[in-house]
Amino acid sequence: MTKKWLEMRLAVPDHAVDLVSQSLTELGCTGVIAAEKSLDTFVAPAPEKLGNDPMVRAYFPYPENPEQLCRIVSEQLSALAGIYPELAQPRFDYRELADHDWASDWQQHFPPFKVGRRLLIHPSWIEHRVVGDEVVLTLDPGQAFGTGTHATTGLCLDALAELFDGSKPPQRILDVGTGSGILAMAAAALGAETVMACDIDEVSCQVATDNVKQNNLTEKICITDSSLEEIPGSYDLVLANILAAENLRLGSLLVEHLLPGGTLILSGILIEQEQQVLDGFAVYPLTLSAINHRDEWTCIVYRRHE
Amino acid sequence: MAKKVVGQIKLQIPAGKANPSPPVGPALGQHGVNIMEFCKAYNARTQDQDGLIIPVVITVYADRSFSFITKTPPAAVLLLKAAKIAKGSGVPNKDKVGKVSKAQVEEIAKLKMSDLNAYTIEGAMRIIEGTARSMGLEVEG
Repeated sequence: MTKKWLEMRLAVPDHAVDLVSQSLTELGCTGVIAAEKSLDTFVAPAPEKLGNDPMVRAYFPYPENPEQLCRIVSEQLSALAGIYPELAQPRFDYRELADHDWASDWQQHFPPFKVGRRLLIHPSWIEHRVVGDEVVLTLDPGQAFGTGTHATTGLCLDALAELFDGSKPPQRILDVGTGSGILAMAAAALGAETVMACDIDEVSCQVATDNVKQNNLTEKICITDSSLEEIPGSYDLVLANILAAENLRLGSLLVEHLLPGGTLILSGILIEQEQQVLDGFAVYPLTLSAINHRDEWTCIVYRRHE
Repeated sequence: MAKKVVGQIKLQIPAGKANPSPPVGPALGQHGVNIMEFCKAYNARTQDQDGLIIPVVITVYADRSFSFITKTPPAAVLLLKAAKIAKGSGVPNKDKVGKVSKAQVEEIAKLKMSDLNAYTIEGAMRIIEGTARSMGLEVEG
């Protein structure tokens, strides 16, 4: 028999959701979706400010007698009416939910993908045999931006691949805001001698470190949570897949870290912000090499004057 | 990285027991989030709070990567646990169903401090005491 679930939608006052969830667990509930909100922003609202939805969704393994479960839930909620009077007459409905392979279903969003002529990035659950001079990276999505599926990362990867196919591939690289470490690893795999990768986010640094280890690139890549000011040295290539405002704010530091003749790749810039970034960087000793677009995003490539 | 946020999800799930079944599966699966990675990280962070429902808010980014924060267990739940009873009073002003000590209130206040709108431990204790009374619990001492 296929396993089924019962999804119960309940009207619960915002301040009662915590206790109701705990209470339902005693009846076999496996958990509650208290809120789900679509967003389109660069500034994540503080997670602690996310209010609960007016109707929360509680899940139970499908019982033999759903009506009986409903009666028990109703009694359990009414018992909380002393604390939350709104629960005196509980309002809820339910539906059947078929079981599904949730554990692996999301993996369809992460197929292997090719970058430029030689680089292939694939998740660990897909085996890949190296063909010819192909360079392969293994990367699983997780708690750091940079799965490779987003346009800002894709634009940087393409720009990197082009540089390494050129006559003078960069050797010393600085990756600012490394996230998952994807760009640092791509550069190292394509032939860079050393990569310094920084991120002010602690979790990203940990994730990047793990990814670098998994790809046996620890000898080439150094991950640090130091800020850009604290990072010494000059580089053939500086990558900054951050946001337009951050690129502008860090502009002079990015250029200072660049050797004469070196390349600067700026990404994370919306097309509508492109002119603003070009204007901001006009004061530096740079020559514009390329501007590439994908979706709503732009990637600007500069070369520092010799 | 240029992180664009596409959604936030709040779940109430048992500490240390997240798995790909509902609610985690359907809630995160539709956003293409790495469910096993979330479960592993959530369970690691909450494993010492067995038996409690820990609220968690997951932020999903445009490239399907994610971050999450766990909140402290609800005060009402901690109070019931401290008083060793299953549920609060139906008539909290009249029928007292249990007792908690000042020390227990202080312990809960300290744990909840980060989630409460209080600047001092005394202020946090007053909030917890209020919750206790509204549930029909006496605060001793």
